[in-house]
Amino acid sequence: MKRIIVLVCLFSGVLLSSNAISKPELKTKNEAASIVIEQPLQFSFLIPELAGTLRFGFINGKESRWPEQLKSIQTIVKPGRIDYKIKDAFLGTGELVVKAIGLTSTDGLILQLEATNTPDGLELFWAAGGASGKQADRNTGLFKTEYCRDNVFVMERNDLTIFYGESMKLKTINFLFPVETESALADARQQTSPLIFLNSGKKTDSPALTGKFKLVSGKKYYICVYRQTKEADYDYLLLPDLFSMAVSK
Amino acid sequence: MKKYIGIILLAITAHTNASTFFNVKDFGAKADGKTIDSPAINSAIDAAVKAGGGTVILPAGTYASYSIRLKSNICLQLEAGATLLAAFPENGIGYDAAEPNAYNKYQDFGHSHWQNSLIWGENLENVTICGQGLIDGAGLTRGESRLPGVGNKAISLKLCRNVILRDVKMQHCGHFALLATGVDNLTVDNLLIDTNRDGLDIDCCRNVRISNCTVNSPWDDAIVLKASYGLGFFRDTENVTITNCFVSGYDRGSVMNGTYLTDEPQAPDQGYVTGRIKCGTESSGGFKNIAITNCIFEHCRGLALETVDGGILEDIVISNITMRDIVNSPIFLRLGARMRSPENTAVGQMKRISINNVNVYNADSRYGCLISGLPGHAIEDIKLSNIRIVYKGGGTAEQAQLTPPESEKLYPEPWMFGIIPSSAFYIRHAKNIEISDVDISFMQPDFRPSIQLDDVKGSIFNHVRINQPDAPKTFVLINSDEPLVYK
Repeated sequence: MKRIIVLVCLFSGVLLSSNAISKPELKTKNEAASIVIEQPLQFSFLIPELAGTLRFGFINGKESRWPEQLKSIQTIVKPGRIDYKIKDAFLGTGELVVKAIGLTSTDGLILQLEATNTPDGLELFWAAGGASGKQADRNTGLFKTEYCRDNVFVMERNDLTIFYGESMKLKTINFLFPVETESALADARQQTSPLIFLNSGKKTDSPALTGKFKLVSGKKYYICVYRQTKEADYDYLLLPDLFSMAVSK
Repeated sequence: MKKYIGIILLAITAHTNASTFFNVKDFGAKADGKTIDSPAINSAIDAAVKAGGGTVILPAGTYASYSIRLKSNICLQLEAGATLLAAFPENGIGYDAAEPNAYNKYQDFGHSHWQNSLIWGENLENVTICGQGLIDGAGLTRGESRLPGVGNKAISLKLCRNVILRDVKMQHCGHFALLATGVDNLTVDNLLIDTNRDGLDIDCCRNVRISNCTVNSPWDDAIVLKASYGLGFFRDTENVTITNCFVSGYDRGSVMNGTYLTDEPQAPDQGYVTGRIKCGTESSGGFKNIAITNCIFEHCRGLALETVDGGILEDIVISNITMRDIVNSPIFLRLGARMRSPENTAVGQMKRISINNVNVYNADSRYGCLISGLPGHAIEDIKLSNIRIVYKGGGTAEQAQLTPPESEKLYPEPWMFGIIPSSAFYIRHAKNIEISDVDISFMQPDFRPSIQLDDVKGSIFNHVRINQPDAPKTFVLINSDEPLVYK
């Protein structure tokens, strides 16, 4: 298929089609940190060492899709922010709007997701892992199995901490999902589809944490990835305000 | 008429002499797993207190709960089929707040507060928690959040006396299944604990019996004696027996459910599964007169005795231990100078330790058995006897050239010095060390010398058989007396 790159400047935003080649990056609190987006709905945190990747997919019953398998992903890039509008038969006649903004209170990202007119059984799949704790080459893929080694996932209902790095130089990164999310340890070597990844089991040298939650049409959902500090100590109920503040900045 | 008077008198007598049980359901507990039942449970406790004491019963059912505040002369009994479920805080509503503590800079957040717990008590006497039920700390965190309502301990007791914990099962308990700080005359018997951070933390306690417990804690220490500064003064942990216990680092929950899985080999601190018996790390106060015996370690770290904050660790007897699949040093003795204590606290001491009748199979070889004091502060009077260790092996000739740093202030763990240049024993800054009737072998070739002595005065090796054909030599001596060796 012929690649067509369409660039339309909309005020301060740049609209990209799903076939665009560029890898957007979002800035966050620290100068040396950035959030690299290798493909739609896949966010890798280089702060500045590789502190993990969060990727998303879609599930409905026994079927699942990665974003890159969907027909239309409209991407709008603005400074510090990236918005997606996703349409596909898998989402019925509806669409999913995802807004992702780099945080300034700490190194991290906050996302707002809202589905409209999507099928009843639609679920959002998520996977977190690949925190190597080292510098990583942005050009060779950031959610590799070798980056997943020795990651330890502490999941407390919807509050995830990944422990990574080395003993005596330990690091953590935190994630918050909607309270109703399910989660399961999984095998990062099995990412053929979101469902295969979700059900792959924990017996692996490349662990990841996966999960899913139902996407109810018309409801706003929030996901946050952040480095916990004294000032940045969040739970899910704080995320709508955190998102609003991030938007206003 | 006489018959009726007799019946009335009988009824009055029966009422007066009846045992006083307080069923939490009579105080409004729903046991539906959703309604927060801690107000009802606390009401039942208060009613028992008014009656002079008694047993508060949780019949079968699931009691979602925030903080339960124990009182003196109370027995909290979880019947078979009862689960006390730590609920998640919602919108800032949850457990009692972490109370102020002027001394919180000397120990971690979990050690510095007691009230932000599922069950807590302070300045109590005659308290029991017992029964065949389960304490499930699902809504407790093992993390560092300070948000309002967050709870991080299952059972937390401060400055109490005459305490019994017996028979209950505990899972997923946050920072500690039990934090007992300054608790005297404490019995912990027949608990089954499978948890996501520490199991039993005995901190600044006197006269403690821990027996017949199973503690699976892959992500931190299983049974650990401490002597923190959390009380705001120095207090030793002393007169403790730990006996007939099993500690392990199987996957979380897999001892409780009987599957004993090993699919999750790594702990959050990146040192592989933990689950051991240890003294330390908090060691502002000392450890004195302690016997650890008849215990089993499996799929976990080895035995560790650490004093690094100024405490005196002495008069310890450890015997009849068998360990399999040990992920670091089978025996780790560390006198350090982290000094997480008030200013001007002197460096501690470690002396008079006997470790006898120990069997170890499949032990990680990176660090060997490690005994390390500090320059000018020797570990003294150590006897190791009747010990068999089968190490994994795999040490290289290059590793034999390494010089372990002193790392005086570093957090004590066997990894702290890097790979050790000897395969069986590394002993540094020590005196009067006697090692007898020891059998060491290796599953794979190991090219490091077997024993390195560095600043060791007065050592005896009596019937020590090391089957290590690839060792370049048995002893490396650095600034040490020539050891007396009796074959």
